Parts: sequence; structure tokens; C-alpha cells
Amino acid sequence: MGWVHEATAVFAKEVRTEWRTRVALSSTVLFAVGALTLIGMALRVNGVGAVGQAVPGVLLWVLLLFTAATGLGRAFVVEEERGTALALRLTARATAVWTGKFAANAALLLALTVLTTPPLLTLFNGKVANLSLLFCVLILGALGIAAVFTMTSALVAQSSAKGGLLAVLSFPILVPLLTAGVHGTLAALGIGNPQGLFSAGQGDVQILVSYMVIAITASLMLFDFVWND
Amino acid sequence: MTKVAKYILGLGMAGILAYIFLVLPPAQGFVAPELARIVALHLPNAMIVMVASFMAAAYGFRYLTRGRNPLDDAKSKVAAVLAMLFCLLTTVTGAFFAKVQWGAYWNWDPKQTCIFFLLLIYAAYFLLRSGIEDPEKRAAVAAVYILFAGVMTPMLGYFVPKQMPSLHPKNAGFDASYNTAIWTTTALLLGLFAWMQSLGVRSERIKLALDARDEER
Amino acid sequence: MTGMMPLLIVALLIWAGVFVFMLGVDRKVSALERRLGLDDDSRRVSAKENSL
Repeated sequence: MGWVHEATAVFAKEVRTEWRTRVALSSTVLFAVGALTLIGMALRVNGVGAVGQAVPGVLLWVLLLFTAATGLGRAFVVEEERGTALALRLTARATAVWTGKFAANAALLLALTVLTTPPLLTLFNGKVANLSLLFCVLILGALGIAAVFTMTSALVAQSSAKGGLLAVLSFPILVPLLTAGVHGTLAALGIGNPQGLFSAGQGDVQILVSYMVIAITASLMLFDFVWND
Repeated sequence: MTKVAKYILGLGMAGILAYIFLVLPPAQGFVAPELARIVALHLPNAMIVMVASFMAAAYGFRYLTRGRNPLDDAKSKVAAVLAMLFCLLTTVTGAFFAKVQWGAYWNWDPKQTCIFFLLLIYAAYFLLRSGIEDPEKRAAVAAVYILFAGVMTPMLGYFVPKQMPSLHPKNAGFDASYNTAIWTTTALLLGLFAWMQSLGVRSERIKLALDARDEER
Repeated sequence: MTGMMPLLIVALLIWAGVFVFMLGVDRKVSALERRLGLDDDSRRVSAKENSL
């Protein structure tokens, strides 16, 4: 099978197996809904005005991050648990496996971003100054987060201390992405930069693009070492 | 490390400490020029962190690509321990400087925060290692993590701090004697690091030999 | 400048402690290596004896 064929097959398998049980999907959606509701309630108690301007932008990323940690962590663990890891190793090469998993994780996270951003912004009466910048930043950020989590979940799957370890491993690595993402989001919302908005966000978009590229490349190169022993 | 080298290190370090505290002129342009001299201890530590991090990643790479020699994994682990130790020292010396200069031990300054995140990465590295039983798997996973983190963190240490306004002084009022102090201290700390690394690797080698012996029985 | 003396003394004490500790560890590690036959000197000697 060609590489693209293999990767697509892995992706299709991920989607299909996930759709059967919908565990990752439901836990992430529930988490997002729960978090949004909490935020809404807190705002209702204290009033929107009491919250700083930058909060919606920051909260968006916190939400993205924790949603990813909840939903993306199981990708490889499940394979080990169900015993399907060997079958996967035999049918597809390492890079195709990683890409397929990454695509599935990215799809989940992107869907969640699209679902949670509008409600969050309306909760805060957030006005979007530059919609295209916001799109760019959020999409690139989601892809970067998905790449990092796909890689670290492969590492954690080998260990016996699963749950919290994923977050601990991934968060420090994600710091540059989060900094650029939050900064870019704030620029897109019209906060924090008196000069031209897109020029302020441009630096962040560049960082996000390079981050994503490096994360994907590094993952593809390193994944083989843990996957095939 | 030869005995002579060790004693040179011991005396040399004592000497440079005396130099830093007694001979070095107070740094101009700082809130407390006398105490700002801790910079001469702070910067060399930061440089050793870079060296140790690089070595940990390099030995991890060697492990993965040169036949999975357990000694390479041991070398990588020891370097990681030392990187974490010097990271801690850098953060502490930096915090003292911050307290004196800006009134608070912690300021959310980008460089400060980034070195702290480096500390977290190493802590995560050891947590990861402790969760895996099989030594070969453990070594491979640890190597991949340290390489992955190693590839992503130059962004941490370089690009992000560049973008953000930082409290870290740029061209401060240091005169030439500070350069001597800083570079001498760096050289001596490098010697200390080499000694610690060698001791650590030798201990690991002993452990491996003992394990092999137990298996033979 | 003499205000720095107490700080210097503290720093020197810390360094002395670290240095002595390292020497101690070095000694222990060397002893263990000798016992296990891992140290280079004994290996070199035994290699020589073998080649004779």
C-alpha cells in the first residue's frame, strides 16, 4: 500500500472506532460544555464588566488545552489495551500510523474549536476585530496542540502512569505555542496592541506555523523509535 | 578526572568566588550595584544548563541510532539530572537578583518562566522514566522525549523571549572585569559538570554491572 | 566591599561542602569499581597479564 493509502486507512479506522463508542468525543464535548457553563455561571455572578478584556482570549486557550488533554490522550493507550497495536504495526509503516492518528486528533480538536469559540466569545460579548487572524491563530494552534499530544500520548502509552503524565509531559513543550496563540488571539480580538492589528498578529502566526511544522517533522522522525522495537 | 585537576577546580572555584565578592566592582546602573554581582554566578549556571541539555539530547540520539547501548542511555540520564540541577541553580540565583533589582523573587519575566518550564520538562522526563519497567523501552521512550522536547525548546529559549518585552537587562553597566569573572566561572563550572557527569556515569556503569551479575546467578 | 565578606564566607562554605561531598562520592565509586574489576587500571593489568 502506498504511504498515503496507509495513513488514510489509519485515519479512517480511528474515525470509525471512535464513532462506535464515541468515548473521546463525548468526554471532550462534555468537558467543553461543562467548562463553558462554569464560566457562564461565574460571569453571571460577577458580571462581565468585572472580568478583564483579555480573559476570553486566554480562556479559549485554556479550554482548548484541557479539552485536548482529556480527549486526545487515549489514542495509543487504547491500542495497547485492546491488543490491536501489533496489527497496526504490521499493516502500516510508522509514519503513516502517526499521521493517521494525528489527522484524527486534529479533526477532533478543530471540531471542538469551532464548536466552543462562538459560545465563549458571546458569553463575554467579545468583539472580533480581525476574524481571519483569529481563524489562522486558532486553527494553527489546534494543529500544533494535536501534533504534540499525538506524540506524547505515544510515549505515555508505554508507561504505567498514564493519566496525569500526559499533561505534565505536554504542557511545558506547548508553552511557545500557547504564548504565541494567546498573543495572536488577543491581537485578533483587538486588545493589547495599539499598532496595526494584523501586523501584531503576524509574528504570532509565523511562530505558530514554524511550531507546527517542527512539531510534525520531529514527531514523524522520532515516532518510529518508540513504535517499532 | 585526575587528582590535580580536582584540586585546581576546588581552589580555582574558591578563588573566583573571592574575586567575585571582593574584587569585582559594583555593577553600574542597577538598584543595588553591590549585590548585582550575583550575575557573575547566574550567567555561567545558565550556560551549563545549555551544555548539559545538549549532551542529554545527544546521548539520547546516540542511544537510538547507535545500537541501543544502555551506557548511552545512562549518560543521557546523568546529563539530564545535571541539567535539572543547574537549571535549579540558575533559577535560584536569578530569583535573588530579581528580588534585589525588582523587589520580587518571581516576575513572570519570559526568560525566567522559560527556564522554569525547562525544569518542568526535566521533571516530566524523570516521571516518564519511572513509569516504565522494561529498561530498553524506558531508554527508548526517554530518548525520544528528550529529543522531542530538545527540538521544541529552542523556541522556548529564543523566539518567545525575543517577541516579548523582558525585564532581563540587555547591555548593562558591566565592565571588563565582569567578563573575566563570568568566563572563568563558566570554565570552572564546566569542570565541575564534567566531574559530576563522570561520577554519575561511573555509578550507572556499576549499577549495570551489578544487574548483569544478578542475572547471571 | 567588606560588606561582601559574610556573603563570601557563606559561598565558600557552600562550595567547600559541595567539594568535599564530591570527593567522598568519587572515593566510594572508585572503591566499588575496584571491587567489581571495572576500573581501567586493573583491566589494563589483567589484559597485559593475559597477553603474556
